[in-house]
Amino acid sequence: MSNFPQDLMYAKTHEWVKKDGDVYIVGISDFAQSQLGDIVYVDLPGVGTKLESGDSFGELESSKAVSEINMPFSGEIIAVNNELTDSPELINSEPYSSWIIKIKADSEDDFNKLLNSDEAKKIIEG
Amino acid sequence: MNRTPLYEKHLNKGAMFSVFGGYDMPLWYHSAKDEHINVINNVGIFDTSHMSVLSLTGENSERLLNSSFSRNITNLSPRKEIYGLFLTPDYFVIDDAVIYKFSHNEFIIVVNAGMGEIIIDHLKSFNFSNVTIFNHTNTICKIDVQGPKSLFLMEKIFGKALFADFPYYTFKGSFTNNDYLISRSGYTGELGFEIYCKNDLGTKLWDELLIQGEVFNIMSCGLASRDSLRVGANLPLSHQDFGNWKFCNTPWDFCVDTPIISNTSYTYSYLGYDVRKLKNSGVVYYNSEEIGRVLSCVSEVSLTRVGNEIISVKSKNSSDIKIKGLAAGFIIINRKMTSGDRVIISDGSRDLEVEIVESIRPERTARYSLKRIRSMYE
Repeated sequence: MSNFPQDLMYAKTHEWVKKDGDVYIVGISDFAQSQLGDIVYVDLPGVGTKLESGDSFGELESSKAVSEINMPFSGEIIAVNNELTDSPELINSEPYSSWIIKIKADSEDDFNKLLNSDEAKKIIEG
Repeated sequence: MNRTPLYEKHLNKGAMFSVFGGYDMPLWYHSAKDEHINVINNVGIFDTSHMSVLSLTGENSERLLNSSFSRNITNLSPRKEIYGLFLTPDYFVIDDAVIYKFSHNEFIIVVNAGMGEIIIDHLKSFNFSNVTIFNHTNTICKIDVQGPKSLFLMEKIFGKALFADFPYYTFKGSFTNNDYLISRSGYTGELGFEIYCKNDLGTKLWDELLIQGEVFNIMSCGLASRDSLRVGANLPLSHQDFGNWKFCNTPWDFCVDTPIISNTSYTYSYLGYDVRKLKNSGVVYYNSEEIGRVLSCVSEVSLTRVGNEIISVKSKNSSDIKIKGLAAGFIIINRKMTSGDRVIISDGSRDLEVEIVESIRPERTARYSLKRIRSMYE
């Protein structure tokens, strides 16, 4: 059964977001990684890229398919996790410590509009 | 939606499901990548009960097959099997099949999921008398035991004597009279066996294989690893790598006794330069000119490139190297090319350079002698 840690917020497209001061850390949920299967390649964006909410910031390639990863809200990418380039499988084994990007948000309010863990759980339970 | 007799077992094991050929089938259990590599190194079992199993009996059975199948069946010895195609007069592929010969008047034909009745209609269209065709699909469970250590697992369950001599593409037993038909064949490129038996025997056998196979690190495997393994083994998927177009100039021309001479299309195997594959169906470019389309594109997760060398999980020097996987598959193009030529495959958003190759995954064990397997793995 997929888990949704209480201290994180979630986008409807299954990214998790953690607030760390004024920086927002983004990865994909345990549910998302279990649906994708083995992740074999991560296509990361360039640092400094500015994107709108819902824009694709990269791709996750699993052994079966290729899926886009989306911005949970508008902002600038200030860091990417280069460790995933060599070890994309970390997203499968440790989805909540394998962050993908860090964002500086355009609006601090956007974080609070995301789903909490109970709401995210309800979405996958249908 | 159809389900195989093993459906509940897959469900209880938490498999990820997908619809294939009208059946709800396991795609993977825990990890398609681990399942793929485990079949190469150890052993895996696949539920392939979705395949259609037909019997053909009667005096004219052999004549009918010689008239309808791409290979001569008279030359096939009893207790041997053969791979080939059912073709239209225009050389379009209706389906591929493995035919098992008991005698000149008794055969088993195995075709793809959902194709049983179509092939029966096709065979009946030849209007031969003294032939009885029966579709066993719903009562027969089929389990593929694949990987180099499948030999030792099979010996544990069926006894060593049966495997003293068991050449590639031969079979023993029968699924009638509550027994098992066991053939030395498969769809992974690795040493393996395919087992056919009645449904109730099959559900017990599945559990037994998992229990007895624990010492060999057995894994139950889904259709995702079956697909990536078969591509790595240069094996085609019917209706994808050939189908409703002329069958000519392919890596599988050996399975047609009388190939058609044509310069309309050429099918080649390819290998990419990293693991990325196409997201959707794709086209092939050469010097910016569109020359064909992509038939199959998978991640062959047991391979990587180091300079000009292809390294697999089986390579002697692989332990120090991170195996990242390589895109692999088949293309059909409008011109002749040779191994080493490079083309671009594209789905509109991704352009990937790939190399045309004779064969995809090296060091496959499917055809190794059992003596060689014993010396390598026992």
